[in-house]
Amino acid sequence: MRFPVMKMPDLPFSSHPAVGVAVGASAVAGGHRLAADGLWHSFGAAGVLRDVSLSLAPGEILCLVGPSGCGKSTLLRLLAGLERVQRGSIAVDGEVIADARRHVLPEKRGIGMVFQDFALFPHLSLLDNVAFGLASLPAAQRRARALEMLARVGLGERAQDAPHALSGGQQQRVALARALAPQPRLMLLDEPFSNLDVRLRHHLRAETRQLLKEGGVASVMVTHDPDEAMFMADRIALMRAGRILQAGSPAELYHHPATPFAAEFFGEVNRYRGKVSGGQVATPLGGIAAPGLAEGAHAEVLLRPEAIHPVAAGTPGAIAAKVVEAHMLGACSLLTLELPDADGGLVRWQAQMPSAACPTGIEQMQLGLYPDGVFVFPLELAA
Amino acid sequence: MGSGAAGLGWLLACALVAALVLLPVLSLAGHALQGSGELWPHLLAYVLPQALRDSLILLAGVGVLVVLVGSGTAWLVTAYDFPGRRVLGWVLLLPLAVPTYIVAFAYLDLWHPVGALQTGLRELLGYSNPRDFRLPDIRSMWGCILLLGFVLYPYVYLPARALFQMQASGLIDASRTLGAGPFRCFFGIALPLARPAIAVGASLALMEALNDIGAAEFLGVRTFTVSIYSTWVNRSSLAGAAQIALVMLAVVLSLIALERWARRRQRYAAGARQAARLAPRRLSAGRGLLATAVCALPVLLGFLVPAGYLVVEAAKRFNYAGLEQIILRETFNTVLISAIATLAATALAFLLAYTLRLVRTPFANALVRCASLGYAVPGTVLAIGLLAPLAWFDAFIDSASTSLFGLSTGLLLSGSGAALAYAYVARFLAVGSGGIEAGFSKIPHSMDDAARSLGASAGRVARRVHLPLGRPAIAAAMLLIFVDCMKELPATLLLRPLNFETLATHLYGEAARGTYESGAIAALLIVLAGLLPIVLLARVGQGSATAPQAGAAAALPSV
Repeated sequence: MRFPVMKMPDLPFSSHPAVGVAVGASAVAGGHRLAADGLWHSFGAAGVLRDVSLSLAPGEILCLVGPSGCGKSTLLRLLAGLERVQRGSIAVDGEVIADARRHVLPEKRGIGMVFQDFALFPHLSLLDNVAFGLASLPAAQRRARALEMLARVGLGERAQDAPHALSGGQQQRVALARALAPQPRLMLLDEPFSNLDVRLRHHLRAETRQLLKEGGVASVMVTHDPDEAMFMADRIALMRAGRILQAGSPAELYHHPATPFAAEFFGEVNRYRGKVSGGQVATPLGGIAAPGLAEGAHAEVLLRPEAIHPVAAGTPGAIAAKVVEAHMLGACSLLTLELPDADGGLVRWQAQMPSAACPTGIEQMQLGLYPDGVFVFPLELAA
Repeated sequence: MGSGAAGLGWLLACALVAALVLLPVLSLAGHALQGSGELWPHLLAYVLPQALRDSLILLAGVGVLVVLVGSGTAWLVTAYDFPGRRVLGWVLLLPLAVPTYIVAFAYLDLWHPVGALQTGLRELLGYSNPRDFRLPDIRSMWGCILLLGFVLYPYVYLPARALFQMQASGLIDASRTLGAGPFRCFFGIALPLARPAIAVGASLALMEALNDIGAAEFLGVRTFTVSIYSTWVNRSSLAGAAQIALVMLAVVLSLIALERWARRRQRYAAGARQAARLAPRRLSAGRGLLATAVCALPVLLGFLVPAGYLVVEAAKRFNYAGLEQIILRETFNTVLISAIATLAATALAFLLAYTLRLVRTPFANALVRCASLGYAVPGTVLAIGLLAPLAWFDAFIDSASTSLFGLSTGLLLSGSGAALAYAYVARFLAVGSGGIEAGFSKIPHSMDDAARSLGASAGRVARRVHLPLGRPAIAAAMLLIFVDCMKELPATLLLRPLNFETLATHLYGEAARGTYESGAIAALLIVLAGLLPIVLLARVGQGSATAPQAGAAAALPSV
């Protein structure tokens, strides 16, 4: 679906009159880029950000993910100007807006933000909330633009309602409409779905992504939910303890995690420890190539449950395993498998596979391994 | 179920407390209605118009001043960074420690034509005679407005700051990302959101202004309180005093109604989620110093000058006469009567707060609110209302005892100070129940349910769960009640037993006679006691809506 966007050449934050055409992200003309370079930040003695750099191409959606307390929200507040930069710099389109000396005030940045609690002004109607950022427009245009934005999120009929009369999902939509109304150069979203129930969340993230992409505005979204990040993001930056551990496309982070932490953050894993021998680590499901690891080094192997799959009996390299437990979850089944170890012990691994492949009552199974779900790391990285 | 029966007992106890609190008001109404009709035309012609006019001008002036100073300084220390901001953030509370009659007491002497201030100014300007140069007389309406405004503004400052810091900060962040500058943030977002909090604070400040007896009387403003007091003391007319008191009560009620109206849409303010603190905006050097000066001025006028004066005068007096016997005796009197009243009020407040938790019905709520009404009743009104029932009770006991045992008990309540304790409890009960209720609200209801399901009676749950868990709130409530009792003047003046002086009444006597010197030590002691809850307030948390505030706010009866 495409929404017609009115031409609003004198919108407060719009430095480019031609933005009025809805286009895909890849084709954004005159979109804005963001670059943060070498940001360090601390509250008192506690370091919150350590040398964080990131860049954002026009129209791109970047998700900052990580466990709580990793500094992602602080990073967002620095970008918005709600917190002063202590060290490092932030630039939009090459122009520095914040460093240790310079601090462009948040109201001068033209950076929109959606807050975790939505922060709708309780004493203003929806219309006045959305119109709040359009102060520089004449009254008639302001009203028209606010109504248009409300209509775009499906709340045009409720323009005169007070925010507390809305459901959580509707409040989230208004917050998004309000932030987008002045056509900000960039959008920041701080856990925008965390206050919503799961079903609504799934629905709204699709809707939100669409709105952001239609506006062609580069966005940074903070979330702690890996599924949400993979759904929303063009690019993901995984943060931990104030650093960006890895940044890349969702597929890169899922299939090529740089650390065991990254591998585990984006999905379940089975863990196995062994020594590198002949360029391989021997596991109950066969040898796994360990490129870049020294001979005899201790290594940790992480296997995604869906990398373990059933094969026909007699397939070369197939390994027999005992099915200890099986849970049918619908299209997929979750299995607990028991496999003989090299030392003669037994290991228990989780496997996930199409339910069609594991009939109820099955006790024994021949297994193979998809290599793109198996990762080998030096043991010291695992600590 | 057992809880039903137990709940009934608790409710009955609350009803008794509420009845005892309401007794003075009912007796007042009775007295005013049956009172001597011939006095009414006189009151209507000569007393009431002036009392009404003076009270309303005073309330309007103080109201404007406390709102301006209170919300202005609260916004400055929350939203801006300037030299001394942190210290100012809490010293702005200090004037709370200075009762209105003490600030008037201090300034009367300081501002006197031959007092320290004007003498110094004349020397500076080269005048030799007080006749050549004289500042406007402080004994006037504007003097009273200024003095009351600069000690009462913390009632607005405290809730406004809490709201700016906690609830409004997320919204102010949001408005900044939408391009709003400081002006729009304040007038478009912060102020409308803080309106309910400011209304609560302002109405508390105005209640204090209305309740004040010392400042208004010393400064020659004939408010209701002053009129009631002089009608009773000079004309010995209880009916006349009761009639004025009733009119005053009507003014109080309209004040409360006004406050309710001003925060009619409060629900949304409470709904906003607690967000990160507002990041203060750094001010340039010049503007920063201006902000420092603006925030320092109320502290200077409302605390430093009067407290400094008291310290100097008290030291002089101490060097001259040492610690007089009379001061020691009055301190003992004050502490004793305040301690008794505090213990009783705290126990009853616990009863009210726990009953409200146990029996979660509108009826229980109404009962507890009734029992909290005393806080809204000015001390003079309460005392006038108590005089008749006390006299009746004392006479009844006396005659009963005389006829039964041939033993006269005399004035059992009025003569023993029990009447005074009663008045304190009735007046400050709400301070305790509000604070304890706020403390209980942090104990999840599931804990009560768990204890009950484990077989504990309601009483045992109160003892084993709420008493220990609520201890900080209970202790804070006790401190507040104690200090309020120590500072209380209007009811104390009317109800104290013969020849029983407290620090406050001593001070009043000295000021009435125009002999300030020996009052300074008493005043200083009261201010020092008043500092205790403020230290607690500052420690409990910069900016959180603290127990005293919650208590005071809860004390406003729901009409």
